[in-house]
Amino acid sequence: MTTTVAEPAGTAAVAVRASGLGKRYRAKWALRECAFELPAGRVAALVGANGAGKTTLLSVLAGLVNADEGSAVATGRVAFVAQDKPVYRGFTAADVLRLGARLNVVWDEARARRWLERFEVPLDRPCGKLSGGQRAQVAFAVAVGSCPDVLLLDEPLANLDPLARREVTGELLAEVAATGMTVLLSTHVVTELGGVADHLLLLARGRLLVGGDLDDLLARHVRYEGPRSDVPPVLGDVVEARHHGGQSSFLVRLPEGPRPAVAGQWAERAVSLEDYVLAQLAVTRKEPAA
Amino acid sequence: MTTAIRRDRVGWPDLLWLTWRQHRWQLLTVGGGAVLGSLVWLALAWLINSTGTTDHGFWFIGGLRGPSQLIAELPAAGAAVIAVFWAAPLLSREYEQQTHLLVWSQDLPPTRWLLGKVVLLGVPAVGLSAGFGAAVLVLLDAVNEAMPQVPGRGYYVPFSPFSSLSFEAAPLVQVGYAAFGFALGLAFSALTRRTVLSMGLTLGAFVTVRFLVGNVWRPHFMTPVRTYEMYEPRFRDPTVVDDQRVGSMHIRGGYADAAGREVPFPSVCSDGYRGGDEDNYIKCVTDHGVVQYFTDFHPADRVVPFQLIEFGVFAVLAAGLLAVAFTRVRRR
Repeated sequence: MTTTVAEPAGTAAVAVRASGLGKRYRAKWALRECAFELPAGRVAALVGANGAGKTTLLSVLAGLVNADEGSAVATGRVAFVAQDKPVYRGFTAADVLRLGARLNVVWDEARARRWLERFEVPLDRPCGKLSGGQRAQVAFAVAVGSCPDVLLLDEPLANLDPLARREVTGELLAEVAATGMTVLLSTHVVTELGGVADHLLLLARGRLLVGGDLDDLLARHVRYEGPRSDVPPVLGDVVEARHHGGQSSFLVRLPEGPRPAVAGQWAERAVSLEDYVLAQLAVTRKEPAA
Repeated sequence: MTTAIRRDRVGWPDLLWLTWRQHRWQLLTVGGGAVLGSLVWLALAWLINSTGTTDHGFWFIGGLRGPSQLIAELPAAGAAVIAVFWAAPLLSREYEQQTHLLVWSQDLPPTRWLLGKVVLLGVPAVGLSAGFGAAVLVLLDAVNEAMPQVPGRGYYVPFSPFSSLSFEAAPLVQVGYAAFGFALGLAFSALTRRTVLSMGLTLGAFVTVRFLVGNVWRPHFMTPVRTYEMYEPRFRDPTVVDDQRVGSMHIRGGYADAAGREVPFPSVCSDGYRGGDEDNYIKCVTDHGVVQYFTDFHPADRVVPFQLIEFGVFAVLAAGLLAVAFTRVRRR
């Protein structure tokens, strides 16, 4: 992406900033000490196990839930599509777009209609009579039509068939490229994130475990496979160690600096996003509750 | 390159569109029913006024006095319908279908959305109730006017000013009930977030509060007026009453001595009385200090102050319940 606006070094525009964010439901903290900065124009994936606090974080950022501590600031206008993709069942798709036009100060009717046409959603049928996937498209169309600076999507790919998933992510990326908006989407479908997300937020038990640029994160992690061993062949933090028969496999976070060379029987493999996320989630599951 | 339209704010026309689109069937059925009913009551009142009698038969209906009794019950039901069917599902249905997440994540703060709903549904609710009550009251007045008056036998009317039916049909009182019902339903809707539960609780609470205020509290809105008559146990025509007590709200009656102090009725006197010695009975009663009979009542000219108080009670309750609903929506 080219831009003519020169940002001062190190202070790229921040689209979402959370600091010390916490939300409690009665005695239980759903979100605690959550702090991150999401640079503008990114597509960030919010991943975590069930009940990790993803929906709570998105709801707080969307302004639908008040935080109990800390603060969350999103720059510009925010649109949010909730997990169930709610729309009024008696409204036609055209009515829902009308709602979007009526209740937003910025509205791009053509953009919203393009989205519905792209996914072949009839405008004149009540949403209650549309399929679950079509209803989801209506909810997306309203969010896109409101021209948000930050688009928050809770499980956008759930309930979509594999082809629709690819098309939705493709359209989202096209919107990001065209408008420079920032997208934060939560998902369980980690496999579908490759080539989509360029930023990662990983939640575990209400706390932010990892946050940062995806390429940087993946570049600093390497998987080593070799003969059975109690320690990996390089210095670094072991994220995950697996031993199977005479084989050992380590996922290691490398220290800063040039990547160390390994010799002998050890094989070095690049870490995929899925591999990395699953390893992180597995670790947090084994740990006793914080 | 964008085709986006920008404006300063989401305004009332937008909220009006949304409210109409979501609630048009409610508004049309209840609103249409209330307007149609009011027109019929006014037509009946005109008929009674122009003929001077309620003896008009239609189909199986023998005359208009009986039906007017039923019609007079309707305003009481109207506010309950608004409370249960308009207000009680208002928030809970959004929560149940998760649509609050859609409508509250547009450029409209939830409290402004709620204010829009309260004004755009609450004002029609209050207005319809007031209009319907006024039409019923016109009919009741016509029925009262048409009653044959027998000279010297008092002023019997089927709907006296303090009778609960005509007292409660007054537009001001109806406004209080409708506002209270609406706020009550909304508060339960916000607190329970369950439509059926909220509708049930609203109906129960509405009936209970209306009963407690109307039947238990209302007689004590003011200190009753007390009048005395000489104690006279012999037959009296019960339809002949003091002018001051025409159309009044009777509270209670009792016995008093010459100084006006209340005394209990001497039951010993009636113990031995078997319809024989009347003079002896009267002597026994007067010997026990009973000189006068008193009546406590609210005179008819207190109707309007009482209606103002009744309205005030329900208006205060409505304000409190609205505050509950708004607080609940603001603290998400």
